[in-house]
Amino acid sequence: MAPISTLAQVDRTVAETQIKAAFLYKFSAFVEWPPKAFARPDSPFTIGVIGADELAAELEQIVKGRTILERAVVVRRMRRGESVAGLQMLFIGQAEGARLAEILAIAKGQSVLTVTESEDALSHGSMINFVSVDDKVRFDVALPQAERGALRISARLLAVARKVVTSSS
Amino acid sequence: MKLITQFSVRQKLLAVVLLTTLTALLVAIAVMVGFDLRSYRQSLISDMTTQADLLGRTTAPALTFDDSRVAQENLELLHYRPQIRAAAIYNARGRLAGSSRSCLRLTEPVSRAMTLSCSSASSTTGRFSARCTCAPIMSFTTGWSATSA
Repeated sequence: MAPISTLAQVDRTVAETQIKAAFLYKFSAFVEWPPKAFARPDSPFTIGVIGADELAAELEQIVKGRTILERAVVVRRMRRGESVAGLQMLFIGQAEGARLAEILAIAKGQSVLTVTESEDALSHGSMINFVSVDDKVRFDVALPQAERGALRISARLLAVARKVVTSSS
Repeated sequence: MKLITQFSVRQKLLAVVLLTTLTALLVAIAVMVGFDLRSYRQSLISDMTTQADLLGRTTAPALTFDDSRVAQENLELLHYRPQIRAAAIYNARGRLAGSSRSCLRLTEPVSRAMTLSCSSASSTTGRFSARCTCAPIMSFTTGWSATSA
């Protein structure tokens, strides 16, 4: 029985990674970036991924041949300590664990949509945090953090969020 | 011929006048009923199209993020319209279409049959359609669909 359940679990993790990658791409349709978020009018839309290589690979598959805000999409696999300059979106995987707060501090106040998948990540300054509810991927949104980064998150996205944090308390 | 000759001119004249009036009346009634039905149907269609569009736009994010609960809640708003016999939201999945749990499914509400099923077309976020029946005289389907962002 044990190998079967492990296999099922692997399947589920793969499916979850796929869903998260797809959600990450779709978030872009519900968020407004200020013009200063892009260095040049023709800068690509850059999504940084740290601590989640499988998700980065999945995301590369999804964005292949697609555009966001009429810009080409680039997925950048980040290393620790790397600057978030030029990024529009940053996904921080669970593998980063304890370094989460440190990475989020770097992105704080920048026009970078930070997405995480760790418990309590919103209190560390993340804007969107994936949670698992009844085996389905849902997400929480923190508006004050997004406002600090001059990002506008559409009310239509908030309608499907599990929880929306509106004050920084 | 005998039938006609046994009446006086006066009676015949009266009959002709009455017959003409009756015909005119019948024609007027028919035209009025036809016009009313037509305008009623048209207003119902535009009404339903507006509602389908509104509901569709509201539900698009729910379909994008695979949230059947929100889709269900939105669809249940149609309970306020007794004419609506059935309504459905079709979920068109792209990459995530592989698993059956990406299908949204609605439980049947108490008063009306509402179904929700999956469509495999990948270019649209979803499709909403409502079937509206008004007595036995007319019945139509109105639809909405949105392309994926």
